[in-house]
Amino acid sequence: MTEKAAQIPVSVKNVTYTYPEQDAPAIRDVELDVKEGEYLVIMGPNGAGKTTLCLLLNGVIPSVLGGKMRGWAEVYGLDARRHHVYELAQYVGMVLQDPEAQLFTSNVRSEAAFAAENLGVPREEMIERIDWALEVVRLQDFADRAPTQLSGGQKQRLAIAAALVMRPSVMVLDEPTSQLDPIGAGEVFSVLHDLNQDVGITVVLTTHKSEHATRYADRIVVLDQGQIVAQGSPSEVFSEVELMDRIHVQVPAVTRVEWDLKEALGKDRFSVVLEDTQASLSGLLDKRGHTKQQAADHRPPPPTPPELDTPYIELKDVSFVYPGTDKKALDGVSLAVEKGEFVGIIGQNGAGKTTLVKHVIGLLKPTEGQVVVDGRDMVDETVERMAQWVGLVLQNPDEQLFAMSVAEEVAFGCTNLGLPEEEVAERVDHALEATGLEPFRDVYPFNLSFGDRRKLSVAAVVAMEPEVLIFDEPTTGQDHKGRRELADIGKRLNEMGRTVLMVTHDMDLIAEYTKRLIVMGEARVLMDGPTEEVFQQVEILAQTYISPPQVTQLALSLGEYGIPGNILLVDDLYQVLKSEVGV
Amino acid sequence: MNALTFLNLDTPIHRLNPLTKLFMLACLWTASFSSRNLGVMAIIVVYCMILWALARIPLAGMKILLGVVLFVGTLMVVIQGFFYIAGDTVVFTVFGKPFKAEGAVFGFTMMVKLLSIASTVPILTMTTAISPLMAALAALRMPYKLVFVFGTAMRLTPLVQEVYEDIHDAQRLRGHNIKEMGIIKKITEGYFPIFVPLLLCLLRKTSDMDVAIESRAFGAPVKRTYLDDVSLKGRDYAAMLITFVFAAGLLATSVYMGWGAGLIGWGGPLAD
Repeated sequence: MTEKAAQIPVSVKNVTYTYPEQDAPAIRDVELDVKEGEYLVIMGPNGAGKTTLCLLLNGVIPSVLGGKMRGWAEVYGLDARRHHVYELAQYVGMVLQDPEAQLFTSNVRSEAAFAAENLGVPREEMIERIDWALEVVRLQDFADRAPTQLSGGQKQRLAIAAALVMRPSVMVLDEPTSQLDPIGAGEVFSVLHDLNQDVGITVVLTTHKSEHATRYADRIVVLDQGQIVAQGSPSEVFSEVELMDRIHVQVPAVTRVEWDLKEALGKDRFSVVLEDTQASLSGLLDKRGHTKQQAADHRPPPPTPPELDTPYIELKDVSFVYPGTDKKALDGVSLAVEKGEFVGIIGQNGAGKTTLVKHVIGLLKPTEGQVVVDGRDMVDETVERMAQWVGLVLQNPDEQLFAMSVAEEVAFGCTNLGLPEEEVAERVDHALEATGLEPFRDVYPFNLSFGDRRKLSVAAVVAMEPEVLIFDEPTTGQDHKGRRELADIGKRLNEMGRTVLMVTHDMDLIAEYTKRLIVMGEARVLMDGPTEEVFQQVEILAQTYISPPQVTQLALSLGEYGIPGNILLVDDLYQVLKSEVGV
Repeated sequence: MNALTFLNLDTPIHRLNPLTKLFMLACLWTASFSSRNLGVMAIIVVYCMILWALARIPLAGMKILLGVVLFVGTLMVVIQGFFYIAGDTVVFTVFGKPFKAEGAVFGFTMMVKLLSIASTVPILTMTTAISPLMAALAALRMPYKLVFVFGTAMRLTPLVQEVYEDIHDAQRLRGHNIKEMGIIKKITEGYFPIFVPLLLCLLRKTSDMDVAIESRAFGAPVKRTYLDDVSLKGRDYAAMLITFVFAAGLLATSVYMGWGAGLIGWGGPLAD
């Protein structure tokens, strides 16, 4: 290996790549040098070329996937086009988005062994490598577990360990946390941080989560439509707020607050982490003569559930145990939702959120207690019948699409309800209009982008005109734009009088769209009340590994200057600071 | 849980080498195939049940397997009862067609034979993780790519089931009520919205899996090594010896008593 290769382990020069049977290139004229020991984060909207770039870095492109490649990619001095993936894999370890698709064996230890076995590593050395890798990802106590018994975060850490046994110098991870809850994502980022800092492994990671990117990255590269449009330190990149907005990359809330106050702060380069922004704003408030008040806790007590006269959905002391297990997935849950509400449901994975909403449509029946929807006891109702009153949009749109056109797909549910043809056509038109899919009505569903397929799955439910619409993790795998578009659909339907329940890990969406928030933890309802009051209960939220939105955390941290803690949106904080600071 | 699902326990049977278990299965199958005597096959079933108990295999896990054996066995009894050529002991007639005792006994014997064969399967599948089984098959000089396909198929089975159930639920949420459809409608309309997304989802998952496998140096042109130690221990030799003696004893008894192929029922009286 040359000295240059050791300093620049991965080098991409002027690469343009087109997938087989595609006309447009996925990446164009990309130039990228990854430095030894660097923590590089690649960001960009869906379809920007992030995954393509990752697959190029470990040689899967072009040697496995084929296609047309122009330019040159080098991994530790090896030409990616001329060397097989197994050669490059010893330098570059790869972790994919879907944890399920990359685990193939029956226990953690054999999963970690797979790559070393393929490389013919002697058994004694293999055992040493496995023990080391499992310790690094903190799974040493899970060595005999089946991968199916691991949580999402543990599965991704296992995928990292499975690559680490090859002793790579670079780890490439393609959206490894997009399907994880906050705690799972935190575990993965923390392990990667340790690998980078303590073991010296170069990390290349793609993500939509700007708050994590800014906390750990040395450098951020932003892709849009296959081209690099910005790169630099997190502060340099996110200071280009207008560019990020144009290409729909989420700017951290704290950066946006500083950007809004740029004249008062006299800055053109903005902070990207909470502590720095807090220091900037404290300095500004101090300078403008705002003295710190007595440290007093102005936070309201934990909210109590609203008392509703005419609940549309009611769960009365509901418990549920999945067959074959003895742990309660719901434990004495009682709550009520009225017509026309927009309710958020949050909590860590396994807290019982999805189990809860499945009871509302009858996919699951309570082991104990009672679920009543519109006066109907759900024990006596079938899912197929309830579908006309309650619509549930599941996480993965691809698990329901089968028709030859978008319009046919949307019509399917209405036809199942036995509606006359004219009414079906009318409802399809309305649903396509509500979801912005009208221009695609004759398109084959799988030719749509992932974001549009998600909208199609919503349209398919909207056309059935249910009274209640439930979104289960609408943000999974979605970029900033896609997440907002789906939430906007929910908002529009809510304004039209529909009841909307949204299960998500995206606190910014919850803050912006919901008026009421239910927090689940350990199969119980931990809190239920107005969103702004719930987000001030930091300690209770921590029980289910949730932090309030970054802007709320910032407001809470400025409480001693009299800034109220019930702020949920950047604009609200800006208005308060504007009146306080007089900008 | 079903009879193909690995139970992650630490029992004397779990600790046996997969090659030992394969040898035990081969012995028991030979004894079962070489005899049509109900007693011999019942003894094999009892032997398997002792092994189940040692392996702490719950009967609940056997429900599907036993259900299939019972269903197929009942069919055999009915079909053989009506269509068995030999014998003249008529038990009853249906539309003039006699149901013969000899046929029913023959069908019942086949059912117990099927049970004796099926009873051995969980002793391997429920006590052996896929990776040591793959290492054992590779030690038997099976081509690794074939072994890997076998292992991946074992891993994919529950995944396919999981995806199928998710898709089924997703379509029920759109009012697709396959349960209430007649058989023709089920075939022409019912399964289409389930099998199309199932196929597409599995294609995508296997494509991702392909990338993951390649990224972990699959197919590297080196002599593959294995984490699992497939060398035989004292307990393996003991288990093989016991099973071999047991199966050989049954085989010898069958041959000596004339209970081999061509005989039915209890061996002697009804066979003639």
